[in-house]
Amino acid sequence: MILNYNNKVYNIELQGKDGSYSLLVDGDKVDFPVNIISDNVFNMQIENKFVNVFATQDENNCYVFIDGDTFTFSKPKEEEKCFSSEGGLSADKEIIKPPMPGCIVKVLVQKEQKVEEGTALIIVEAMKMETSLYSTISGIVTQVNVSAGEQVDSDTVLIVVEKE
Amino acid sequence: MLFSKNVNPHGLRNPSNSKKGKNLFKKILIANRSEIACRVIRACKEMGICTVAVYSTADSKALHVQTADEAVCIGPPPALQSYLNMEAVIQAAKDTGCEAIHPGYGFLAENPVFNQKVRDAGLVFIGPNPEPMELLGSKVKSRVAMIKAGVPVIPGMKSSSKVLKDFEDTAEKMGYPVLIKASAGGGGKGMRVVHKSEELQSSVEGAMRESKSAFGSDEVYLEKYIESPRHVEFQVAADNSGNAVYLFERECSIQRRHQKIIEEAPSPVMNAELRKKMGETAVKVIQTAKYNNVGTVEFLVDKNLNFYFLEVNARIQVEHPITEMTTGIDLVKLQISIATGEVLPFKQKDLRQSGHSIECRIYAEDPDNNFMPSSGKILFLKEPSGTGVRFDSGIYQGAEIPVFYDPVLAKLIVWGKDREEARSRMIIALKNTVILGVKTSIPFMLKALEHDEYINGNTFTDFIEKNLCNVELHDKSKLRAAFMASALHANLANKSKTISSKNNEIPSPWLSIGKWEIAE
Repeated sequence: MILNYNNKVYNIELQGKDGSYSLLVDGDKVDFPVNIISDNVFNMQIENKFVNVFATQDENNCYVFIDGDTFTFSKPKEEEKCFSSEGGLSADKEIIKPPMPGCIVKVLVQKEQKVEEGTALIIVEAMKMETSLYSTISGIVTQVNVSAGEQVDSDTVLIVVEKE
Repeated sequence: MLFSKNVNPHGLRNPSNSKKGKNLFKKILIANRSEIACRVIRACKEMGICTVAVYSTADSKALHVQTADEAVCIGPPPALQSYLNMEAVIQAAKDTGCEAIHPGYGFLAENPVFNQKVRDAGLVFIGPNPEPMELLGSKVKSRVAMIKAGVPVIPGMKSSSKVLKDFEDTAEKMGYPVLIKASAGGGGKGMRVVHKSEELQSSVEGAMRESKSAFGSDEVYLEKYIESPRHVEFQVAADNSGNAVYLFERECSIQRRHQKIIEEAPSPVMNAELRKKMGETAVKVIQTAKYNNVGTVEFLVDKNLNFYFLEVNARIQVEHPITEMTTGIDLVKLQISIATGEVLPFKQKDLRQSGHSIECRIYAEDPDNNFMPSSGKILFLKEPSGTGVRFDSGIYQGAEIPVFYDPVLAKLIVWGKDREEARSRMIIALKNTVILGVKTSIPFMLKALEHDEYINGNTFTDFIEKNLCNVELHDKSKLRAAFMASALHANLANKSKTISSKNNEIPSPWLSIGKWEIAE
């Protein structure tokens, strides 16, 4: 099973039985005594103490809660594997998408406009909070796909900035 | 809750619980959603009052809809078309035969126009009269009135303005940093700290937009920014006959984005003399405004324990439970009984603060990403419990968290005999509050509560900036355990899926993990 955490990919394999399991993380072996309480609850020994560890998942992520600490691991998506070769993530081009679904408050730049690194490009509102999205590169605005008042999904490409 | 709601350790009379109260309502509409709507519904049930919930189409399965006796859909998801739609709310109350409307907090709670419309429709508004609400709802007008009454305030603009020059002039005169505030504001919305003149224009514009969208008014003004203050507020209550009391203070200095996340009562900085002085000032404030019903007078307290009047919140506060825990008084029931015309069932000399209470607001937000609101589905929920633990919740396992509203999920409140007992109880309770599927502020609040400066009571409004900005929230040593739990869960979930489904389905990639088995 492949899980992504903080932009790092981990290859995870589980082995064992009878309450004693080993975990292979990128081939590295770790042992955890565990009592399986239910599909979601695992009483695991961590640093000499047993604690309940809670886990669940949806299509995109695995979610884990340990003693007040939470971890969200993303599962690899098919499209992402292709996307990385497309150059969309390269530093020559920046694709601005909203952090979550919301409403466009104000578009601060126009097409063909020159922008510097750190220029505020657009203001998006979600859950009554305004967020400004900034350019992380200097270049030219090549696409402005939305206007003020528009509702957008988190995968909508709002603005594209390209290096000259 | 530690105390049973009717009998409390102070031997005080709580608001009428029986149907003997001659004018007690039979049916109330709650013009709100999430945890506060559920909280008000609970109080009504205890008083034998029927409840009507209202909801937008995004909330048809929300908890408040499930717990009310009746529920009425009042519009599409955007708040302006549903929870802020005055006509729809009032019509729903009339159609269902309600006698009164409880507005909760936020939405229409402090809108004097709505307040008046409710009365014009022949219904009771559970809250203050429209006149004091209008006066206090305008931070500018209330400032002027309080200056006249001799209440200390922070220096700044005397009125709101739409002319940038007015802001520039006042800022130049007082010197930066300055604070821009929405006149109608609350909860940090429409509020901006400005450190230099170049930032002033964009901040004023941003504050106006945010205020317009949150409160329907773009009036903003500017005042001197007091650095590292404490936010201390006093709970007050006044009946319709002019009796007024204060129910002591709450300290709400732990804030991010100017929004409170951890509150406590009493304030660690408070002493008997200051408490009496501030409490009496708070009563003076509400008497000056001719305020009736339950409310909160907010102050800033500087390092030398000077205090400045900020504003009055003419509503029930998010953090009201910590006052309930330390006084034994149910504030929502008190609101309802005052609205029926009953006199306060206690006098100032009868009131006592007992023990220490802390509240943590659990928001759907990502502390790793600048507290960005997070929406989604609650895939797994385990609520905390134990002595002195109260969980005021608006969620359930399977609930969807819509993007349209404030992302508050629940409030965790604890009571302890002293601050340290309350603090450790809160830490344990947070570690037993399992919410999976959306990101929450729980790991962050734990770091705050475990911080030495918090333990020492050095709680100032810049606590988070100063102490927790670069804190590593996640214990990397638990990463492997978390991987293990993910793998175990994926396998078990997968196994039950294969057992229940037919073999001809396309195998999921999880099936290929293999090489191991689960013991029965």
